[in-house]
Amino acid sequence: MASQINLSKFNDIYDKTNKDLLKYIIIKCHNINDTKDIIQDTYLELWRILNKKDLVEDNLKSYLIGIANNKIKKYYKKNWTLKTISLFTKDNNDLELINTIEDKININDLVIKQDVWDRVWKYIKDKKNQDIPKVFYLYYELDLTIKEIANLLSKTESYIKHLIYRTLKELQDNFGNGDNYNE
Amino acid sequence: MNNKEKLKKIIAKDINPNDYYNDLVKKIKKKEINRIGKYILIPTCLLIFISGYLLIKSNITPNNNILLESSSYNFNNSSLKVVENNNDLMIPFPFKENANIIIPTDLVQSKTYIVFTKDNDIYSYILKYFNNDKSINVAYAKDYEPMKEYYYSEEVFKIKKINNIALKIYNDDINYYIEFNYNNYNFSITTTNINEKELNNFLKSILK
Repeated sequence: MASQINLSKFNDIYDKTNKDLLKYIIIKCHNINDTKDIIQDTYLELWRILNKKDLVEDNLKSYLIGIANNKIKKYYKKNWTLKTISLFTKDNNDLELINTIEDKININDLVIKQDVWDRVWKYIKDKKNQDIPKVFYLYYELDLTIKEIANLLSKTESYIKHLIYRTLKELQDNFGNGDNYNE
Repeated sequence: MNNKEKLKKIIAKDINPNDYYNDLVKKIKKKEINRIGKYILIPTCLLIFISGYLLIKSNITPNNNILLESSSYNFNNSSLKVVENNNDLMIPFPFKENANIIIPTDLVQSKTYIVFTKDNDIYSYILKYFNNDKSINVAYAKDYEPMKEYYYSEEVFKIKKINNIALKIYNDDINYYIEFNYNNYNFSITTTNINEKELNNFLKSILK
C-alpha cells in the first residue's frame, strides 16, 4: 500500500525547507541537543498532514513553523527539567570579564590541536547557558552577523559578543597550549 | 584549514540535516509498515473475536430432553414425558417449609408440570412462573439430574454462593441458567428476561 504522498515529493519539500526550519528550531529550543528530535517530530507531523490533505506550497514554510512551535512546546512540557539560566553566574564573575575580555579574540588565533575539535564542540554544546552553542552555530556555521544573531535571539549585541569572546577565552584556556581540559 | 573552518566542519557533521532526513525516512517507513499491519491486524483480531464469540454461543447443543417452544409442556419425548399438573397430583415442595418465595410481581401466571419416564415413573418436577415474555422455570428432582432445556459445557458456568450454597450460573443475553443441590433436591433453573436483581431476590428467598 503506497502513501498518498510519495517519498520523493517529501524529499523535495525537505530540501526546500530544512535549513530555515533548523535555524528556527535551534533559536527556539532550550537545548541544542534536542534539535534532532524536534525537527524529526515536525517533519513527521508534516508527513501525516500531507497524507491527509494538500497544502499550498507557498504556505509550507509557515505551516512548518507552526508545527515546530507546537512540537517545541510539547517536547518541553514532556521533558521539562530545565532551570532558568541566569546570564551571569552566581558569583558574578562575568561582570568583571565583560570589561576585561579583549574583544579582539579571534577563533583563528587559538592554538588548538587538530583532533580536539570534536571535544571543543561538545564543550560548547554542554554549556549550561544554551545561548552559547546557539550563538556559535549561528555565527560560525551560518555566518550571521552579531547584529542578526542579537535580533534572532532577542538579546543585545554586547551580550552576544560577550558570549563569543568569553567562550573563546575558555577554549584557549582549556584546549589550547597542551589541552588542559578534562571532561 | 583554519580554526573557523575546522569548527564549522565539526558543527556541520554534528548538526546535519541529511542525517536527520535519513533517520526520518526510516521512521516514516516503519510507521507505514505499522499502519499496514494495523489494517491487517485489527480486522484479523475482530474476526477471531467474533468467531470465538459465535463458537461459545454455539455451545448450545440440544439434548434429547429439550422441550420445544410450546404453549404447554404436554410433549412426548422418546424418553421423558412432560405433563401439566392440573392439581391431579400433589407435587413435593422442594424448598424449606417457611420459605417465602419472592417472584417478580409481573409474573402473574404459574403452572406445575410433572416429568414422567416412559415407564410412567415420576422423573422430575417443574414449577413455572411466567407472563408473555418473562419466565422462571424451576426443574427439580430428588435422585436424578432434573430435565433441562439447554446444554452447556461445564466450563462456561461460574460458581456463586448464596447463603453458603454453591450455585453454578451461566447467562447469555436473555437467559440465566442455574444449577445447584439444595434440600436434597437437584435443581436446574432457567429464567428468561429476568434481571439480575430479580434473580438474586428469588434465589435468596428460596435458599434459606
